[in-house]
Amino acid sequence: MRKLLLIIAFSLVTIFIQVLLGPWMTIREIRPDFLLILVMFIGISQGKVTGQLYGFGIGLVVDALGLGSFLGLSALAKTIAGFGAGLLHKRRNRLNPLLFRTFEILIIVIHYAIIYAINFKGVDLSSRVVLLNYILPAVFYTGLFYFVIQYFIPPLSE
Amino acid sequence: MWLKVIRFLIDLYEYFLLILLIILSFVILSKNNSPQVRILQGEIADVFAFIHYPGVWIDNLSNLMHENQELKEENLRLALLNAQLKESYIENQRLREMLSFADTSHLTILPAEVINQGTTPLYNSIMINVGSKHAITPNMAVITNKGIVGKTVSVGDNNTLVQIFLDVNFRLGVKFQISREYGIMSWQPNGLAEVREIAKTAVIYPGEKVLTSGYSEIYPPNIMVGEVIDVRQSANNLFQIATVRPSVNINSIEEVFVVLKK
Repeated sequence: MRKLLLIIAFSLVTIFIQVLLGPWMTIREIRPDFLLILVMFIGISQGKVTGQLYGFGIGLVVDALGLGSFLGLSALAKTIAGFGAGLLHKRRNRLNPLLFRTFEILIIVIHYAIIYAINFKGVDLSSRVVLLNYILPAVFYTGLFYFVIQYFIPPLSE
Repeated sequence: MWLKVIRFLIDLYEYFLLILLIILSFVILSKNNSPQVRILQGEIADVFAFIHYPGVWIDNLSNLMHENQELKEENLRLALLNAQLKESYIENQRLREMLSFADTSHLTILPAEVINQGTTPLYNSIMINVGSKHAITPNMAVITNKGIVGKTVSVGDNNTLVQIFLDVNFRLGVKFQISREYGIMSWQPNGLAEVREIAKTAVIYPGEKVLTSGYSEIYPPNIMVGEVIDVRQSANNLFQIATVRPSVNINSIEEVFVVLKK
């Protein structure tokens, strides 16, 4: 119960941060996704089930707020991100650190690939342009915050 | 045997849950255009609208002094303009009567404040602080004094989501003010817009104003959309493509008007 309340509190704070700081941090239509960072933190610290359920739930809330894209899109991307992060649960000390970091980046790449692939479906843009102009900058921007935050606040209770 | 199968399934429940959630997400995605989903989205947005208010409050506070000065200047400018417009209006009425034209400029508009410009990396909707209680319905045009902003999509009691013209799926029927050519405008990744499939023989001028065509049930005619900054031939050399710089800067809008009745 305490854990649930903690997660809800963290979620509300993160949504506030996303809403307040997001527009200020937008560079060429790209902004860091703090909710993805939280989903990954929860996935890594709590495992696959919590990670994917949380990803789905918070994704739906973001989609329902309607401030970005289609209803269900963030839920889909964050479910998979939560599950992927859950695969890393209790593996921090068992995996090669470089491999662990690569998996983390891969999860962020998959998340944005899903978001942009569905959102740009039917738009006259080549995959290369979407990758170079949207996916990679978004991965870099969110990844940067992810690793900086992780440096100061490592995922709890692994 | 059955026990082994059940145990096997239990062992894989995390994966079944993942598949279930993915299917559920796709089902929700496929229902995006249904009115029920739009209503639900509006209702939930209404509940969570409080999240945006601290940001709006901070923004308002920091902009207050600057805005006050600007408003004073604007007030003076408008007072001068008003005198000119009164003269023009009288002249216009006289000419209309002479030509037996009916007055067609009967837009009923409702002012609204922009309370958020997006939480996700994608940036294609804004939320405004009016809703069904203020007679807002989906598919109403949203404009500013500088031009088109977008249209209402999901309506809650007190808040409404507006699809802005920077949305990848946004299309708008437009006309060029001088050449009188018509076309469909769509978003481009560089923040500009393009009007494609303009006849090769049409003469479009850079700097020419682009207005709403009026062939829409949503957008009133002759609302400013932007300005042509470049005209080029299409790849197959059959048409021309005009690049348009939108007249409204979405990043800086704070107030908008919803067109209640054309």
